[in-house]
Amino acid sequence: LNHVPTIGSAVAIALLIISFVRRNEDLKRVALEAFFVIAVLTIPAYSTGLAAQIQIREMEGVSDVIIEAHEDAAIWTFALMQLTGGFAWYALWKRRRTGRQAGGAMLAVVFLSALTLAAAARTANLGGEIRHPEIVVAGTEEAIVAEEAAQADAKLETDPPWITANQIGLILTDRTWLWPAFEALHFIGMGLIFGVVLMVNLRLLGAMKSWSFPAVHRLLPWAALGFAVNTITGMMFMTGSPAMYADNPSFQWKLVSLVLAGLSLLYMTAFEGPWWVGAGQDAPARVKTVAATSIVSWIGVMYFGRMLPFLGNAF
Amino acid sequence: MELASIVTAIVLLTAIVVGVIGVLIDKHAD
Repeated sequence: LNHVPTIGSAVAIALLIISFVRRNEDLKRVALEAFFVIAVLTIPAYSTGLAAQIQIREMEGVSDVIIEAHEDAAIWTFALMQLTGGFAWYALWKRRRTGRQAGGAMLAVVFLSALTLAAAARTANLGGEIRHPEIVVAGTEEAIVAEEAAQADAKLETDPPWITANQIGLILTDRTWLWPAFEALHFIGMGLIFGVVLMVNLRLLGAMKSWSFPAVHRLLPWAALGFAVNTITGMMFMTGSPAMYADNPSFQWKLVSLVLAGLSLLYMTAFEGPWWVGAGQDAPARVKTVAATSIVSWIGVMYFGRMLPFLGNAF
Repeated sequence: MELASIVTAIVLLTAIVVGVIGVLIDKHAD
């Protein structure tokens, strides 16, 4: 899972380049879908880092400095990957509706994905040094990076960087109003997502048959905006108080449900199956199965989210 | 400032931002 952001974005960028060279529209769509899937998988990948951090922090021969450098690099990778995924999603949605390419969104995906790959490579490099301290040999590139990380740490005192995991944690726990504000936003985001997703999926299951699928498809950006709000706020909770989430079984189930739910959102947005369900028509069984799975997974996300303190150890 | 009013302000501001983005996207739907 940890290698998905790095290898995945490299593969997706390769696909995108080939699709431009060959002027292959289908391949372009596949590349955009890949970016969205990688962005969703980056959420659990990020959380495994937090769990690992808690476990290995106390081990001997593990450098705190490198761990933190890795974590801070991971935050940037995460943010860039989500932005890339967001624009890729918009490009897919627009293309599905109009049959034309969303030029601006494509440009953003190209630009952001290059940045993401660079950030992911840097994060992976720093991460490799944590788990494999034996590869850090004096005079080698890794040793130089480790030395640079140590110097960077010393620099923190005099010249604090723009964003670090520690800072986010402190900001969230120091200001009593920020956590409740983000919780409120997280719930509003949830309302947006589930409201739209429920309507879209119920249409496919046979409710509101006088509407064509493209009519409800138009609402999907509101769910995507809810997804964006909740990715940002959820990421803040995870970084602000990793111990509450990292080892929490309820959180792990929430992430599993979230990946399934994210995949179903992609299906509704870009795939052929649901798109051709016109007014008064019944959706094929395959599409109905995905719609039902989608509703169940989103309920799973909400249920396991709510159960974080009860089935798990949060708060 | 009182806790509740800051929370309310943040939530309202975000709702406005999300609403504006949503409407802008919707304009390009067809």
